[in-house]
Amino acid sequence: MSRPQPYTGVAILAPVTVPYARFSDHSAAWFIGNALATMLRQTGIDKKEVDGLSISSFTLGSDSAVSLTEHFGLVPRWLEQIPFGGSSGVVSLRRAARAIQNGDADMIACIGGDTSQTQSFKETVANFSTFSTDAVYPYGSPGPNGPFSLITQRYMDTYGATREDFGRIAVSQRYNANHNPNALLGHKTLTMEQYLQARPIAGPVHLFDCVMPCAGADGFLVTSVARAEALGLPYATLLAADERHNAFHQDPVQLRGGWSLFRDDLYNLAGVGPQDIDCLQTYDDYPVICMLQMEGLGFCEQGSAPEFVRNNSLSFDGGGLPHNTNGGQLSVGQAGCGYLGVVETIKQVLNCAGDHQVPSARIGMVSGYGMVNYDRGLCSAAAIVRGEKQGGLA
Amino acid sequence: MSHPLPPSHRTPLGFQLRDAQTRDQLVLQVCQQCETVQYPPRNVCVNCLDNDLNWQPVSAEGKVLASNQLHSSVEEYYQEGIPFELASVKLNAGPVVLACNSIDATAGDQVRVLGEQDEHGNLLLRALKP
Repeated sequence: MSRPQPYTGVAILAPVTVPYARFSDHSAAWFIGNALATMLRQTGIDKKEVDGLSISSFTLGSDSAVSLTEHFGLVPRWLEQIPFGGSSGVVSLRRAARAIQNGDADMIACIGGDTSQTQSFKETVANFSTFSTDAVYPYGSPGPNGPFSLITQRYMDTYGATREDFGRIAVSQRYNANHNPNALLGHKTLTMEQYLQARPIAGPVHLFDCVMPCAGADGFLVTSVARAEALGLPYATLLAADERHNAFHQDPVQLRGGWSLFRDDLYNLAGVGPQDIDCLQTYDDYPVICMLQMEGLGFCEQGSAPEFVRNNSLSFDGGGLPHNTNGGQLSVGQAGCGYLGVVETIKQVLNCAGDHQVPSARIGMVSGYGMVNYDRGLCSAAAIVRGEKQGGLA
Repeated sequence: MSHPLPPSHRTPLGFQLRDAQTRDQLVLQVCQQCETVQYPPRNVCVNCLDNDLNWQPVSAEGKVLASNQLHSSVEEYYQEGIPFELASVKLNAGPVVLACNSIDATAGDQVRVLGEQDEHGNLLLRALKP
């Protein structure tokens, strides 16, 4: 099998977040447009220079990425829409980097954004996929809580994980969120006792294991290192990235994702190992999925993540493995298809993450996971980035 | 106030799946080329991609992978009937199905899975004692 070539000469810059809201009357296009405006304002880059656009959203309705070119007055020569749920942010970064390397575009805006209205979550769930319509939705209409409760239960039965183990992830993320003014739940503390006493949602999944769908957007720019240097802007480089879809489909229950199939190549290309990663963002739709990513990406062996989280601090300032350092979706909210972790990783390695900055972070890893088409998430992706010219934007 | 009904939306294949069931047999898609049994229903064979698929009786026996009570639902009909008992079952015939679990089956239990009709006349698979 051929191997991914290096992502030489690609720069990632201008990580921005349009603050999340639990509900909003604004459309997804409003949030995505504001993300674009913010990154242009912060960098001083003219809109006409943006000749590439990658969009991810669950809530654009009848619009698509090309609709947004007309909304925003853009004339891109490279246009992408990545509908891969929580892996979309990582996958968009990877696609955009290749387009820059190959001269298909010079300045690409990658944005994930969603709105959240009273009925929007139900509509997303009810029409998620044909498999879901025929084989999941009729069974209690549980949304993702149903399949994930079964995965969580099976993981507990197989590896001896306890609710406290999942709680370590949720509680540490809330601590991180307490240092992030943009986290929707950042103003509330969460103790292990509160976590354990939360109301049940589905089997072993309780309230603080679930993300809150909300409105918001995250985005970043991808260009060449030469362009970033000429602009004098802080930037990161992409050391490695990869993806796998529908991996291990023969497993009766998803206890592993596709990460283990590419992680050796990923670390080889990046020239680093798990021990060199200063901070890790995993896709945290449920804590058990964070564990699958820690295992799949080689931070611990298959089935040993419960022990790993017992023995290692996950907080941004705990000196262990700083994990979901802005609070993750569990405490910030869920919008924008996995862009949250990508943007946080870029901020961390540029050392502009504010009060939840990991001291001297330089190399960050972000993992994506998404699309429970039937009984498991189909998409696995990961990227390693390094801060080159560090600093924040106005 | 009208009594809420279960969700009625299915794909055309979902309705075919319903129509194929019989009282005492589980009927799923079987590839006529390679004999793969598949679920959820698809347009071509997941194994060999052939489109010659028949609805055929298969073994209804299987083993429970996991079971849970759902305490939350996006549909009013299910919100009134909480908790909903859900199980995933690995059928001896191959596929994994999600099913209603009204027999308190837990991981490792042997069950039979058969179809029944809900208040809309739509299909629900149910895990039953073997």
